[in-house]
Amino acid sequence: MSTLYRALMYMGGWWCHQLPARSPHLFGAQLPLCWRCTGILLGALALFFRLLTKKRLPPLLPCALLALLLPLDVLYNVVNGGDGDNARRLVTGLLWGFCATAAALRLVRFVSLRLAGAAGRPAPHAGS
Amino acid sequence: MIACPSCGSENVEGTRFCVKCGTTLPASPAPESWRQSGDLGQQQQTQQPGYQSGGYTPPAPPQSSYPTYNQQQGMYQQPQQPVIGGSQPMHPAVPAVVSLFLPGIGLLFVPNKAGLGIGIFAATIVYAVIATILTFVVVGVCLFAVMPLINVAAAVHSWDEAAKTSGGQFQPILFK
Repeated sequence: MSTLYRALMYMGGWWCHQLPARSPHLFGAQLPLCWRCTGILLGALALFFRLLTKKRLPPLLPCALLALLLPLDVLYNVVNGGDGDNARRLVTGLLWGFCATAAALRLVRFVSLRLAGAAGRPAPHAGS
Repeated sequence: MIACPSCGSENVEGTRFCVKCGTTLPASPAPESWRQSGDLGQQQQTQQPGYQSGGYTPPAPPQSSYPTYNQQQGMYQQPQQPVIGGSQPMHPAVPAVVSLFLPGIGLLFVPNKAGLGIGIFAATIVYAVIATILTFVVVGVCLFAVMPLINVAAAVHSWDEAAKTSGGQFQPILFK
C-alpha cells in the first residue's frame, strides 16, 4: 500500500508542486495533487464525460469567462502576497479544467477548419 | 376423375379433352398442390401489383459472385458478400478512454491511425519532460493545468477517428 502511495505521489510530483498547506489530506495522508490540480483534473474528467453523453462542446463565451477566474485568483494571491483559500483554489480549478479545456477544444476545431479551408479541402461540417 | 359429358368415360383431372371421344371437358378444379401455389400467387399479387396470379412461382435466382455492370453509373459493382461472423466496429469510447489516460495510445485501436497515435504519445512525453523540468525550476508553478487539455483533446480525437471508421454508426464529437 505504501508502495502504491509513493508511486502516486511520485507521479503527481511530475506536474504538481504538492505543497502540504495547499494539498488535500485524507486520513492524515497527503493526496498526490494539490487542491487546484485536483479541481483541474476533476473538471477535465467532467468535461470528458459530458462530451461522451452530449456529443457537443459547451458554448465558448461563458467558458472563456469562467476559465478566467483561475488566473485572476492566482494574480490576486500574487499581488496580495497571501496564501489564498483552498476552497477557492478547488472551485477555480474545477472551472478551469472544464471551461478552459472546452474553450481550447473549440479553438482547436476553429483552427483546423480554417486550415482545411485554406488547403482547399472540404471542411467538415461544424456542428454544435 | 372427370366424367365426359358426351360419352361418359372417365378422364384424369386436369385434361381438357376426353381421351375417348375428344369432347371438350369442363374445367376441373386444380390439384391441391396447384391450389396452394395459386393462393401464394394471390398473396404475392397483393404485394406486387401487376403480378399474374396462380401457377408456379420461381425461386429467386442464386446471387452471382461476378461483378455486375451498372449502366447508369457506367461501372462494375462487386456483389455484396454475405457477412459470416462479421465483426462490429469498435465502440469509440474504448480508444477515447485509453487516450484519456495515455494520450494517443487509443488510436492504436483505430485502423491506419497507429502512427499518428504513437506521434501524439511521443509529443506528450516530450511535453511532460519539459513540464517536469520547469516545475522543478519555477517553484510553485503548476504545469498540470495544461495536461488535462492534452488528455481530453487526445481522447476526443480518438473518439472522432474511431467514429469515422464506424461507417456512420457513431457520431463524431469535435468534427461532425
